[in-house]
Amino acid sequence: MKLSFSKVPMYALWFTVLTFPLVGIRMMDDKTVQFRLSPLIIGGVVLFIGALYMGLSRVKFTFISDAFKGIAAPLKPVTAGLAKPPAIKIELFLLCLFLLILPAMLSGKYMNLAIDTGIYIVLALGLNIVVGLAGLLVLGYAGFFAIGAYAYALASLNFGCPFWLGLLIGGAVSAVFGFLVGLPSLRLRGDYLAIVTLGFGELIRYIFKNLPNITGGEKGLPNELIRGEIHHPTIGPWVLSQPIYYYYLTFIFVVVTVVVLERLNNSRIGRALIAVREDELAARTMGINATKMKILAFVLSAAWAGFAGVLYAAKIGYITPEGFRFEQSALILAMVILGGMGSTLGVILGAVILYIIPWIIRDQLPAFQDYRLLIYGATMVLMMLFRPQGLISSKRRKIELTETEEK
Amino acid sequence: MTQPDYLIATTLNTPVILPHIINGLIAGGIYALIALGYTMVYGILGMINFAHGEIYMIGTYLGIITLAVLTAIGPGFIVGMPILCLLVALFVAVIFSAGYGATVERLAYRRLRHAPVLAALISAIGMSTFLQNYVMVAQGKDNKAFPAQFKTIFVQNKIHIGDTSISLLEIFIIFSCVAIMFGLHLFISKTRLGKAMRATAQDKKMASLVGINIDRIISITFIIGSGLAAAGGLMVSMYLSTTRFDVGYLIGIKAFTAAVLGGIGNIPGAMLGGLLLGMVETLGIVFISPDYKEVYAFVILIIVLIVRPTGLLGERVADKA
Repeated sequence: MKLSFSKVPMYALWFTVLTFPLVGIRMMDDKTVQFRLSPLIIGGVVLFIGALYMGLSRVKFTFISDAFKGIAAPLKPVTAGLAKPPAIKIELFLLCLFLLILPAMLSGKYMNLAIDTGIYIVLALGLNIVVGLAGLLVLGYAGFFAIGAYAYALASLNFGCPFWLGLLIGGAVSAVFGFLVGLPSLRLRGDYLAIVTLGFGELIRYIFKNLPNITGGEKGLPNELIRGEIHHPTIGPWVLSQPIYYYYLTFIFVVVTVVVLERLNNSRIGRALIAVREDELAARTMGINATKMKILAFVLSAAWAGFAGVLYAAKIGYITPEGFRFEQSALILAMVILGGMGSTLGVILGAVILYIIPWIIRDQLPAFQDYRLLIYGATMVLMMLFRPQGLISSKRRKIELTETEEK
Repeated sequence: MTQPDYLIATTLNTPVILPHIINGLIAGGIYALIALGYTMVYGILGMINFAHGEIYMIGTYLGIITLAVLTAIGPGFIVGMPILCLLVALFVAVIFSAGYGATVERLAYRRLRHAPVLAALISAIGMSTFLQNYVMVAQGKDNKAFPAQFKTIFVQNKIHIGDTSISLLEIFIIFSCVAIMFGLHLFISKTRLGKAMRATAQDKKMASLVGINIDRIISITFIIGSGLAAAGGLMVSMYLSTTRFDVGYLIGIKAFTAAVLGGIGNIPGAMLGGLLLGMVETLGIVFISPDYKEVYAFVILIIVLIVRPTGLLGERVADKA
């Protein structure tokens, strides 16, 4: 961005004036209005950032970049290693070992946090198949998550379906829906597909909400009409109902997902998907059935959301349509984008950051919890502007996102 | 996000169809106003401005805040000149919303103009989330009421047609929508600036070669679209007496549906699509079920995108990915 010094105060003034009515005036309940100084603070922040930006771009702070290089140099082999497909490595082994003994140190709510983070990692990785590998934007991922959760909850409550069978059912039902949505809409342009899936996600939620006799409507499942409990997983005679079992179950889930994704990424199918994403015409010329590949990615991704949904329903024991709002879809998408589309490790990192940090804010600093989604939104914009490839970039993806299209 | 009862009053008991048609026209007119913003931006940039619904929401807030300030300054204003107050509110809402629209374009979209569609779309979604929560943080989570005093004169005066009555407010909304759309049509088809906008939509590079400042035209597009959304926002908040920080999402999707239905990128199409969607939605509520009132738009959206992505009036072929 080209900025000149004289413009910075203008920008600050612009933001102060612009934000004045919304931020500077607050309507009170007794119909009076209160004026606040916040717009001046916003203007001040803009002034500060602008001046900082100008200063930094004029003066050569070589010592800072040198210092960064100094820090980055020893880290380089580590980050380089992370970006590579994980062969059996000492770091990975240690990480797994740490995660395996982690429950011994966690208690109560932290255990819960760890499990939920795991479920979100699975979801983000599942979305990554379709967004990262195939390059198709899906905005209704929570819809597939909801289908998996409801499929298992209904099967469990109505027919006493056990968890492991439910896992298959949830995944399968979700995959079928993925197929049904994907088949007609994959002919469309990228942004139209995004909107169709957004519509689908909302549609699913409204349907669950409006069928009180079948899905419990807004009350969710189970309720007074549909009694019982959503079964916990069992192994032989043991019922895995304690959080610690869920921790290990989720852990296995994440590991399986990572392995499948890595295998997929480096398989014929994965390469075909990437080829279709990069240049569909060229890929078709090479004999790749692009439509089939896209549907495959879509179905696989939907199935993964279904699995995560089953796990979530079993763990939490109570589901409502409000748990699967657009907010959820946006959050999962933000995880994929922050971490780096197409990069398994990046997506895991993105999920961990975007789940744990807001959780800590909610837990420790409740005053700031309203800022949570504000920060998600800003993160998505800033990532697209300044680092579209994400925190840890997949090398192949990076090339695509940074090239400029001739229009 | 619990969506407030939005836009459509579900009075099912009356067998008369006329009130429903009026409701449908009002909803449709508002959808059309907002759809114009989507369609103009899509026509020029080829991207879905996801944050447009949020600009509408900001418009509803700005109108209500202005009226609240006017009430606080001098209660006499309301009694003396309510129409002038409303005009001031409209002016403030339109000007500031246009400012927001232009700022969003400058910050979140301009740098991504040559980036892949996906990047711009994600940025737009992020901006939408950001704006929604920005308003929530600034103004709180509760519903904000439209000052009732300004409405009363409009609502009390009714015109009776047989058993049904139309309030002055309803007539006012329908007429302003028509007037605004007609004005926009004239602007686009007759003025120099409108011509420049059409040229930019057709071919940006060529337009810049004949001396059109592309950045300026795009800013103006955002300013006009946002202004229209804010005007719609003020009317809706007056009609429904309330607003909330999350009203933009649903109405944004519906307006987008209207734009797609009419043929995205096509201005008369957006008007047609808006009216059609409003009518279909209202008739769906009357004849099928009010439980699914939010669903009709999504169903139409999905069907249109799958069966005829060019929309009713669109010539632009939705090319493959």
